Parts: sequence; C-alpha cells; structure tokens
Amino acid sequence: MSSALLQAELGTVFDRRFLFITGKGGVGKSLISAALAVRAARCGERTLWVEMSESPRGGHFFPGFEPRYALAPVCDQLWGMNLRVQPAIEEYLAVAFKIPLLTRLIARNTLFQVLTGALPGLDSLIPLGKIWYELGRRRGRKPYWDRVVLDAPATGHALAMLQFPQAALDIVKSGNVADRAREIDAILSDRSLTGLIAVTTLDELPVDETRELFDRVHTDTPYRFEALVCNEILPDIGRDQGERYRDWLDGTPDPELDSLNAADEQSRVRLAWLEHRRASQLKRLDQLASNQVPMFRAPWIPLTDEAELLNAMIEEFARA
Amino acid sequence: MIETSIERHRILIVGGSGGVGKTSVSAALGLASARAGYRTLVLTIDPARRLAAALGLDGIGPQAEDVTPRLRQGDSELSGELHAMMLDVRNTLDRAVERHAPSPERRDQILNNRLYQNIAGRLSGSQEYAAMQQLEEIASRGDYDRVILDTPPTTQALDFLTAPERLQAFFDSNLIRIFLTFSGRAGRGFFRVTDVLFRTLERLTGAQVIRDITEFFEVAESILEPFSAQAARARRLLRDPSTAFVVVTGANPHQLEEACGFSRALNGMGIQVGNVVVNRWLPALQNRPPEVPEAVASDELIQRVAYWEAALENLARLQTEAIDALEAEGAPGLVRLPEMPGAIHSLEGLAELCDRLCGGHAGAPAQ
Repeated sequence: MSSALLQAELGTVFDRRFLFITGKGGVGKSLISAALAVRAARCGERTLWVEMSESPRGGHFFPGFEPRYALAPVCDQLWGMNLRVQPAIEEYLAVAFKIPLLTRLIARNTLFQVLTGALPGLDSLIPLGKIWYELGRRRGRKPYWDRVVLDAPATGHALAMLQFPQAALDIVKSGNVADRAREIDAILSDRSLTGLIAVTTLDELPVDETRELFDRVHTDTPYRFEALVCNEILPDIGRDQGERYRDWLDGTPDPELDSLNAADEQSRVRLAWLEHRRASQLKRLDQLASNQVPMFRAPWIPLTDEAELLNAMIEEFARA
Repeated sequence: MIETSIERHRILIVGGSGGVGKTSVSAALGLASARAGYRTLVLTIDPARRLAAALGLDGIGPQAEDVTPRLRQGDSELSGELHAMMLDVRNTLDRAVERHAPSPERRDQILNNRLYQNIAGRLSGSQEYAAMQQLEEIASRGDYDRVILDTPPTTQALDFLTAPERLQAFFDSNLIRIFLTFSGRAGRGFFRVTDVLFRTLERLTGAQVIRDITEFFEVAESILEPFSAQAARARRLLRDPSTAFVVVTGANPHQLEEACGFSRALNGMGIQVGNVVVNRWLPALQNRPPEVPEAVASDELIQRVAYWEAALENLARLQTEAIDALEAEGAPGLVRLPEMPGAIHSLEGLAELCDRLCGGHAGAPAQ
C-alpha cells in the first residue's frame, strides 16, 4: 500500500466508535488517548475516556477532574472513569445476577476478593466486559456513547486482554464467561467498530516491544493493529538547510547563527544532542514503517505541565 | 553517594516506572560495585538487546555469566568481579516446584496443571514473585558480596512489592483449606455462604477453571509450607538493613512526583530507600529564564534555532527546579544523571554512565 493511502486510513481508524490504545509504559499512551478522546468530544460526540491505572493521570490532564470507577464529567461531551477490577466485578455480578444485595455481599467477601485477584484471565474479562456493557448501552434509540476511548494497560497486559476471548473459549464452551468472550470477540473483530492503536516512542526498547506486540497479536489473535502513533518525534530544526545547520553544530562558523544565544558552546552541544537523537529516531522510524501500519507522527512537545501538554497535542491532531 | 550505598548495602533493588532507564542504571551500579572491589551480580529481566550484547549476555539463560574479563579489557580500575544473570520466570518457578515437591508424581502433577502453567507464564505477579524468590535464593547462598536486582518492567513500580504479597495471600494455607473443604472433598452445601460464593465464582469463570483450581490446590497443598516459608524470608530480606532500594525516575515534574510517592510508600512498608536517581535530566545553562519565542513553524532557520534553544532551556529550568524541590524535601541520596547521547549499547557507554552515577553531574549533555 502506498504511504498516502496508509495515511488516509489513519483518520478512519481514529474515528472508530471504540478505540483500544496500548503501548509500553512511559511512551505517552495516556496523553495520546486523552487527546483522541477530546478530539472526538470537540466534534460533538458523546465520549467516554477510560483509564485502567493504579495511579490514573486524568487529574493531571484535566484539572478538577478526579478519576474514579464511577463515571464523571470531564468537560463538554466528555466523561471519564478509572476502570479498576474490584469495583467492576461488583458491577458485573450485579448485571449478571440481578440481585444487588447478594452480589455486594459476595463481592466484598475477602476470600472472594483474594480468589478473583489471582484468577488468570479475570483481569481481562472484567474490564472488557465493562467496555462491552458501555458500548451496548442506549439512550432512547441512540447509543449512549458515540465514542469509547480505552487507555488500555501497557503491552503485556494489553496482549493478555486481546488473547482473552480465544483463551476463554478454549476452556469453556457455554455459560456466562463463554457468552461474554463471544461478545467481546465480536467487538474486537468488527473493524467498522473497533480501532486497535499502538503508541510508541522511537527509543530502542519501546520500538522492540511494539514490533513484538504486533508479531504476537498477529500470531496469537485474529485482531490487527490498524494505527501506530509515534510519539515524541524530535523536531527537524535544519529542514531544507539541514547541512548548513549540522555544519554549524559541528563548529563551522556561520555569521547569522553565531549571533544567537545558542551560539554559546554548551547550548550548541545541547542542540547537537537533540539532532543526534533525531538521527537515531529516523532509523527506527524506518524499521517501524515496514509494518505497513498507518503511522501518526506526534511531535515531542517540550512542556512539563500535563494540561498544557494535552492541549498542545490536541492541536497536533487537529492539524493533521 | 552511590558509592556509600554500595558500601553499606549487600542488596540494591533498582525500581521505578517503565521507560526511565532502570536496566542501564542497574548495569552501571553493577560496574561501580565491581570497581569498588566487590564480587557483584546484576540480576536483570529482559534487558535492552544491545545493552545485553555490550555485556556479552546475548542468548544466555538463567545461569550467571562472568562478564569481568570483557570489562577488564577496557577498564583497568576493575578490582572486583561482575556477573550478570537474566531472570527466567518460568524456570525459576519450575525449579522451586522441583525443589519443594515431596515426590516426583506430585511434581509432575503440579508442572502439568493448567492453572499452574497459567500462573507461571502469565498471571500478573508471577514475574515479581520469581524475582523475589531468585533474589532470596542468591542471597542465602552468599556467593556474591553485592547483588543488584533490576526489577521487572512494570509500569506501576509498587506492583513489584504488592504482587508477591498478593500471591502469598493466595497461597495462604488456611484459605486454601477452606477452598478445598467447600469445593469437593467435604461436600458442598455444608455452609451456605461459602457455597453461594463458590457457585458465584463458578458462574464467573466456568466449571473447568474451578476444577483446575481444585486440582492445583490439592497437589499444591503439599508444597505450600516450603513455598510460604521462602516467601516470608524474601519479605524479611526486603526489610533487612543491608537491603536498599534505588529509585530511578525521569526528570519531568510528574515523574518526580510519582517517584516521591513510590519512596514514601516504600518507607511506609518499612523498606529503605538508599538513593533517588534522576535520569535523563536536562541541565539549565543560563541563570535566568529564557523568553520562548512563538516562531516554531518559521521558515527561517535562525528563528527555529532560537525557538528550540529557548524551549530546551525552559524545559531544563522546569526540570531543575522540580529536582531542587525534591532534594529540599529530603529525598535520600539524590543523584542527577544528565541526558546522554543515545542509548547505552557499548562498554564505553556503560563506563561513562557509571562515572556519571558516581561522580555526580558534569553540567551539560556530553557529545
């Protein structure tokens, strides 16, 4: 596929009703998912942004918002929640058994909590079950949510979540779990509904992990990643004058550039460090391009305030 | 300050969020310890391939590899030894089963059980559990003067500590006895609440899963005592005065905040934090805040250079202020590691990182 076609496909993936976003820890997965959620909300879509974290970041991105299990408004048309397994089990049981008091007694039993905490697969079933529930909710004749954006866990757990439907159906053929596994499979396989998105930076480990994730998902599951967001792409400061810029970084005098503050030796070393890192990023970008997955390039934004960072990232998505 | 930690502690556990450079810092700590004359082991899990190659670790298994000869070629200061070992989760758990199983039949039953295979491979916590177990084994053998453990790459640093305890709670014999009593052997419906609970679990997970669990516990019961005893020793080891954590963090304010929370949580659990290592710090070069111009998209090279120079300086100031604040709050043994060009994938790079770790910062990123 040509790169132009690949890029055109990106927009359609970002516009799917359910976005499953994962990546190695520390690559900016939460930032990207929050930006995609706000982007949808600003288009007037009723959007739910779901974190799954012990230390959720929602409060940093959206000052005043406190991420909890209960849905809460974030801003116009955007709602947020932090999907933790224990409260989700309680809710899941209430839906499955329809006896609230009994389920509460069971779910809060210590023995039950310890057992469910250690049962393989339950930490995949429960969050995906919650997503299935939210996607199926309706208000009148319309779906309750126009868009659900899941800031899924880091690659290892996310892979386990994607492996879950087949793994569960291998073990159980009927009953509650099998039904849910089939429904979740239907959601994940529906390419007009679901977009699987991976986020990575162009550092060595995240790139290796992303390639491994793609391989594993390809071999172990029927699902496909359809978009890759490369985050923290360093700026091409030299652009059409790249050679002149690099010569100057190497110490060649340049009357115009030498007049800058940056002409100070240490500043120049710092800019050279940036350019050096950019060169290694470009090599890894080539490695990733061979995956034939449409790629969104999100720039490195030199801000530390997360609310400001989010706003800048939303602008980047709007520009594209 | 890092040297003091190495001198005082026999075990250093390197922890922090994903993607902050834990493995590189662990390897550099190992080198520093070997330079100080100690026979040192770095226990790591899934390291960067090129870092592994630099250490001569390509394709090795769970056996310790002596990398001292390779290091000596370029490093005359090396008076101790450096060994490296990669953690193999499945292998570690299998060996523990083999060691503790009362008979070969029991051993095979456990190793072939589907739940065990699930736990050993995938269950969250098994990596952490295996790492702690491996650490405890190595420490009790006393083959090394210093052991440096690079914790598994979980995003949530605290998971590393809570996961083994969660698993331990799961393995608690009383709990399992209750489970066994009501899941088959003593007949069900004997005590109603537990029976309802059990049926709920069955509906939630499927009957086959319950059978697997029951079988697993029936056979596992025989090896629980030694397993529990070992886990308890591992927990004591974490709190031993000769053990300390080295918390590694990135230099951005939210990362520092997270590291600070992690250190506090460790202290709350009675575990010492020896050092906080701030990695990938961009040192400020000027003594006043820069004016960041608007012209990022300018067609003029000079304006782009001016913008990025100011933006970098601004970022450097924000990072530096946040680190200063952390130090003022009394973060233990704070070390600042300035940005380095590229990842560490050669012995020279590792030696340089080691110098920086021991000597403090040089001021500007090296070229």
